Amino acid sequence: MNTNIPTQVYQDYLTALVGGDRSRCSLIVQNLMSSGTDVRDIFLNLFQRSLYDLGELWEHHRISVAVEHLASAITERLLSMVEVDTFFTPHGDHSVIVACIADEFHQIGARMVSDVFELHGWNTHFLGANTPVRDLISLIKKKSPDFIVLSVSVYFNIPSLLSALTELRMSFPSIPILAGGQAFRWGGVQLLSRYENIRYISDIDELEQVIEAYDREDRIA
Amino acid sequence: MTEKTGSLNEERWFAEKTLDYLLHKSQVVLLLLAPSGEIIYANTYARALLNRDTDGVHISEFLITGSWNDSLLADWTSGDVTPIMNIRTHDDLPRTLYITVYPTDAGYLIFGHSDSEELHRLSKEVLGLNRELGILTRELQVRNRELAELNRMKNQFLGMAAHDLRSPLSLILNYTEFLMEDLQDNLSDEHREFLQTIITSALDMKQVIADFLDVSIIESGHLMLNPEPITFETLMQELLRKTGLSAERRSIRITWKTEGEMPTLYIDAGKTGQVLANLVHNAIEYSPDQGEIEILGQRTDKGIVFMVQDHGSGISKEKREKLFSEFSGTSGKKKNGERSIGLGLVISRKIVEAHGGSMFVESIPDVGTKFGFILPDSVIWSENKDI
Repeated sequence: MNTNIPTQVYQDYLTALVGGDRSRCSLIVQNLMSSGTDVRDIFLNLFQRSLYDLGELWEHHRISVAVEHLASAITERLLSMVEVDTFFTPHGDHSVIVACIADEFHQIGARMVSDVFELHGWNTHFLGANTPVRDLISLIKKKSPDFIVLSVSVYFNIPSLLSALTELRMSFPSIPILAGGQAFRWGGVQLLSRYENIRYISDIDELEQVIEAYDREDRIA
Repeated sequence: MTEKTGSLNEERWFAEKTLDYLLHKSQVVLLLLAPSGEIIYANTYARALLNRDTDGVHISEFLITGSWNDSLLADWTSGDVTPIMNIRTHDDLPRTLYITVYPTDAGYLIFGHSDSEELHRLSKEVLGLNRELGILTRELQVRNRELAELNRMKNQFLGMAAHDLRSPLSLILNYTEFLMEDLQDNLSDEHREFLQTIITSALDMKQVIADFLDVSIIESGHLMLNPEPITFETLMQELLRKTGLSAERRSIRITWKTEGEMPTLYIDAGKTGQVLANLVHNAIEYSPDQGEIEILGQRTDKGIVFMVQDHGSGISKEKREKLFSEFSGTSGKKKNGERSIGLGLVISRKIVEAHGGSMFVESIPDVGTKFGFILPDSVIWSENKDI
């Protein structure tokens, strides 16, 4: 996705985020919002990009756990600020449940995925980090969603994802499941082919294509 | 292993490096206190944490307020409790140090450190809470959207219902009036009173329906202003024409005046008149018979002030706070016993806000109430006015 966020603005934001400067980050986001920057642009080219960059710094021992955690907390706060604009698109009947599997504590990606569904007028049920499978199953029974979305950020949690998928497929053989997240950077996509009606989503663009195709098919039907 | 450590201890470089690390680089607090508690030595980390000159200063100066007592140093060395030192740091925040105290001939040698496990647990909890807060905020926003949608549907329903009620109500009113006129010679006093009650009730209902329609139009964002130049005097003449009869019935006297020069205004005269009529009608309803109502127009540094003052029973503080909310039911029973659904003030507030102004109310129980509104200077008419 092309961005309207100037490189200097991004650099300022990243510096503020690494420095734990919540007010500065907030100001940058507010300025972008008031200048009409698209929410998706902010999600992808500010929040996602900066968290990926931070992840890289963390992997290279350039920043501490505390810095990474604080940056996540700040981003989470800023998401709440930006989300206000995403909830007032006209809503239809489609619904989705978005969750992070058990032991997965990184929920920002999943939250942004929920927001993208909201932007398309879907009714979202976001369960957040570390969702036990039984809670997920109980909500699916209650809401009968059009999609279930599962997010995994840590590669070592992929086995938990697979066991969750096994349980979900036993209870709900036909509800389409979308899976994605940073964990798949290290592999594991092919493991999803063991299950029926599951699709790996590599990024937000692909997610939007899937949503649009579903909405289109539904209109034709 | 013990042998190896033992030999290391004898190495001069080992002792020097370890000491250098402890004194200058580590995040371990090292303090040497005189037997009476004055600080004789503080390492680099302790000085950074306390951020002031420590030499000769009594340790109590750095502890959290009120925590010093003469037996504290002895308690720390007694072995009865885990020694903890709660200090005030340079950022004025308290911090807990887990300490080991060695009594020596020179006084007390104290080593202190933060419990990293404790901090880790705390950080994990805070992050977890932050995540939960994020989810709750998101849920709240979803609920807000749903509520906004329900509110829109409510207004749509309100508008439709009010619209559909208008025609049958007009029929009731017209035919009752026909009956009154056509049968006037054949009606007993009692039957005439029955018909009059039908007319009065139907008129009340007509006003309620008009209010519903106003609210649904305003709430759906379709309130349109049609501004025109008008003087305060013209507004008052029209207001007295609308409200004079109700006031006369109760022998209530309405007077108006301006303070200073009132400019010509560029406002929606009809809607502003509706606001003023609403305020005056309320004042009439809550005034005693033979009471007085004063209307004031004034240009102030805050804008153009309109104020209606009555000398009724007043409004309590808690009721005042709800006055401008829809269906708050605060308007209660009026002087003539009828119930009000309390939409008049809501409509008035929306009209005033659409002009860029705000409403106010001041009231003293058993003395009276001042209701009014302030419009911004932008409503002052000038030849080249263009809104």
